[in-house]
Amino acid sequence: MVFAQVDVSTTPSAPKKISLKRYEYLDRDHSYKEIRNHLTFAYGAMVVGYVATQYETVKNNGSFRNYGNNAGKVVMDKDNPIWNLVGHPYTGSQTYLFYRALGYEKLHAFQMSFWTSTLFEFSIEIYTEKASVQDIYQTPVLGSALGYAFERTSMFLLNNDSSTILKFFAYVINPMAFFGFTEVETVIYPEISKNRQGLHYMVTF
Amino acid sequence: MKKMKTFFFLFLSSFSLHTYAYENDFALKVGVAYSYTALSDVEVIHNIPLGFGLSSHVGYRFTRWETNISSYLNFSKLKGMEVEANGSEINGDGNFQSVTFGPTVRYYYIDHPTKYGVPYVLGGAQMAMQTMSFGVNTYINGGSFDELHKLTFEGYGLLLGLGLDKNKKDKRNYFTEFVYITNMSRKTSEIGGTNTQVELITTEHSKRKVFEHTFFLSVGMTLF
Repeated sequence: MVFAQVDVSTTPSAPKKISLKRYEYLDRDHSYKEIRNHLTFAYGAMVVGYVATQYETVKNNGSFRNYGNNAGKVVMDKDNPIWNLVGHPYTGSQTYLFYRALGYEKLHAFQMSFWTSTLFEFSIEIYTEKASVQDIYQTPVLGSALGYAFERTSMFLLNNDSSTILKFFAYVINPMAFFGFTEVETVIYPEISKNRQGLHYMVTF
Repeated sequence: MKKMKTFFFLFLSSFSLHTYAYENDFALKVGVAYSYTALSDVEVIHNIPLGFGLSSHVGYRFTRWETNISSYLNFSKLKGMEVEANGSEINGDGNFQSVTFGPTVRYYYIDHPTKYGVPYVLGGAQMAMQTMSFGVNTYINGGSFDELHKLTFEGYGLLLGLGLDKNKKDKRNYFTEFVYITNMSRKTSEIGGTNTQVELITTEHSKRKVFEHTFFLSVGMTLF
């Protein structure tokens, strides 16, 4: 998911070696089962995060009676802008980056982010309040835009000779970069001899 | 002469293609904006100082037509605002925030990328909400409005605009647009509570309609 070529070193007598040490998401197709599992994981993480950060709201305002009354209704919420313009987009950005780290191309990561947050909005948040236009729109849209910026910044920092602090910062803004890869150098080269034929695959930590 | 200049510009632009256009594809666009807002009811017009904003569009591009769900956010300061709500006449300074969502349609004059961008017109319907919060030096006459509470107006409106878009998804995929948005309030609410938990104090149909007129000058890019 990570790899793209950087340098190819060859000598007349040695086999061709391909060194892979660039951080980059490699987009790929996903099976239905993978999509289902990834969606379930992201949705579950949102539920856990919601209960953890808004336990008092869930406890005081949540009820199954609300659930029934709020189901299917969409309103403009009057929440503090900090929630609507910082909290929700940040959540959306991490959801987007989660899918990107799992190899979804940008548009598909946005679409998955949209379905995850919409599913959450209509199935969990209605326990305490009606689904809101701002959350449905801003979480995936502004979240993906923010995630796009985080991804570009973190990849730039990781792929250039940044200081340890800057690399740490790259992981802070894009912690999903831990998914799928760590900072390693992978070297692949073929061996074709009388007795052995195959590929050498070396990973250096 | 002016028509000739316009024609000449568009004619030259149509020959400057050297990259691929995207069409029949989804796209997400985000921009930052300068905004100017005027609020009016039947009697008074309040000019709100220049603010800043965000615009975002997600939708599907055909060859020349593009349909989006668009949102415009606008933040400004209130100076000497006079407004009536919940039986109170409120006069003071504070903060103003406006947010709109709705379907928009763009029509591109040319169906391929050009050096300077492709001119387009856009229009759409919007649902909108304006929020006002007031400072401590707010004068309140009558009624029960609390100066620490916020005032929101919900309504519907229209937007019209024009712009230039590079119509690309690769490098230099910028767009710039000028948009006029107008909304009319239908519902007025007083909001209390805390930063983490808002409380709806009152809500009523707007007796004195508040009209918002916002001009957006937005610059942004197609992210993907």
